[in-house]
Amino acid sequence: MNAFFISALQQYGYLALWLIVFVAAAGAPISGSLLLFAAGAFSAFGDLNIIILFPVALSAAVMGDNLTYFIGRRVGTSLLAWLERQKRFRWISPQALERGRVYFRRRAAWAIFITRFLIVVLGGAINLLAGLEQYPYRNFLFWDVSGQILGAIIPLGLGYLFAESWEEVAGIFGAFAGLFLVCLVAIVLSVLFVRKIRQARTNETLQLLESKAGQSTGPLPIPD
Amino acid sequence: MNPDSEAFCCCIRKGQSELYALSERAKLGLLCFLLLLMLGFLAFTAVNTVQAVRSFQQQYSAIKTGDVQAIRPWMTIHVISHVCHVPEDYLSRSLKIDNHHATLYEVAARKRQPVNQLIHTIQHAILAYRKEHPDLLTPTPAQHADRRPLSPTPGRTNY
Repeated sequence: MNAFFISALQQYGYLALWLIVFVAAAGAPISGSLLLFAAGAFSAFGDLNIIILFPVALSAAVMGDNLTYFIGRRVGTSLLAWLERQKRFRWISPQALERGRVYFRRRAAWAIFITRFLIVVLGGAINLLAGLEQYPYRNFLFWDVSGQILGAIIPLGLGYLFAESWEEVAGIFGAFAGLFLVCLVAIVLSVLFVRKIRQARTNETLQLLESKAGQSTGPLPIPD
Repeated sequence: MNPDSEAFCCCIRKGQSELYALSERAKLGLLCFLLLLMLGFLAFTAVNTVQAVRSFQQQYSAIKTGDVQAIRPWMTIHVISHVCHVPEDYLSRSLKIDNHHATLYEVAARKRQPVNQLIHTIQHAILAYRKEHPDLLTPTPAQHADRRPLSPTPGRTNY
C-alpha cells in the first residue's frame, strides 16, 4: 500500500499528496505522516518544493479533520440518540457514558492537539467524538490547526533532513509515538491501581472501626 | 420489628457488602491484569524503538559510506545516483529505464520482476561501474581508503 502511495507521490506530486493526506486525516487507515516523510525526502532531492509542501499538507489535513468532525456532528449525534432509544447500550450504563462524556469535554483540547502529530492513529476517532459531543467548532479548529502545523512540520522537516534514511527515521518516530502512548496508558492504569488500593484499605479500616464500635456498644452489664 | 425479619435484613446487608467487596476485588484484579499487559506492551515497544534506532544507524552509516546496501525500493534512479555517486545515465542505460523519477517499486512492477531482484541488479551495475572507474568512486572505506569526502547531506550533492 505504502509503495503505491509513494509511487503516486512521485508521479502526481502535490495533488497525490493532498488527496492521500486528506483521506488519512478523515480517518482512513492510511499513514499520512509516512507520506509526509517521503515528500520531505523527495523535496531534499529537488523533486518537490518544501515551501509548497507545507501549505498543501496542512490544508489537506485540516480539511480531512473537519470532514470527520462534521460527520460526527451531523450524523453521530442523531445516530447515538437513535441507538439510545433502541436501548442497544445496555452493556454501558448511562452513568458511565455520562462520566466518559464529562471526561472527554474536560480533556478534548489536549486530545485534539496531541492526536494531530503524536498519536495520529487516534485522530479520526477524536474528530468524530468531538463532533458527536458538539465540542465548540472554533476551539476544535484552533487546536486542530495548531496540532496540524506540528503534524506537517515534523515529518516534512525530518524527511528533508534525513532524506536518504527517511524510512528509518519514520520508523523511529512511529516507535517513539507507540512508546509514548503505552507509557501514558500505563501511567493512568498505575494511578487508578494505587487509588483503588488506597480506597480498599480505607474501607477495611472503616469496617474494622465499625465492628469495634459495635462490640463496645453491646449490652451494658446490669448493676446489682 | 419482627426478629425474623430483622435477621433477614441483616443477612441481606451482609450479602450486599460481600458482593460489593467481591466486585471491588474483581475490579482490582482486572486493573492488575491490564497493568501487567501494559507493562508487557511497554517492554515490546521499548525493544521496537531500540531496533528502529539501530536500523537508522545502519542505514545512515551505509549512506555516508556510499554502500550499495543503502538502496531501498522507494528510491528513484535520480536518488540512487545521488546516494551511490553514479551517473543517472549509466544507471538508466544499464537497467533500460527511461523515467528517472519512477520508484524501484514501479520499475519492478513494470518489468514484472520482484523488487529485490531489481535492487540486486542495480547493486551489481554500481559495483561494475566502480570497478571501471576506480578514480571517481566513493565506495565503503573498507574497499577504498582514498575515497572522496561526501557532503554532510549526501543526497543533495550535485553529481
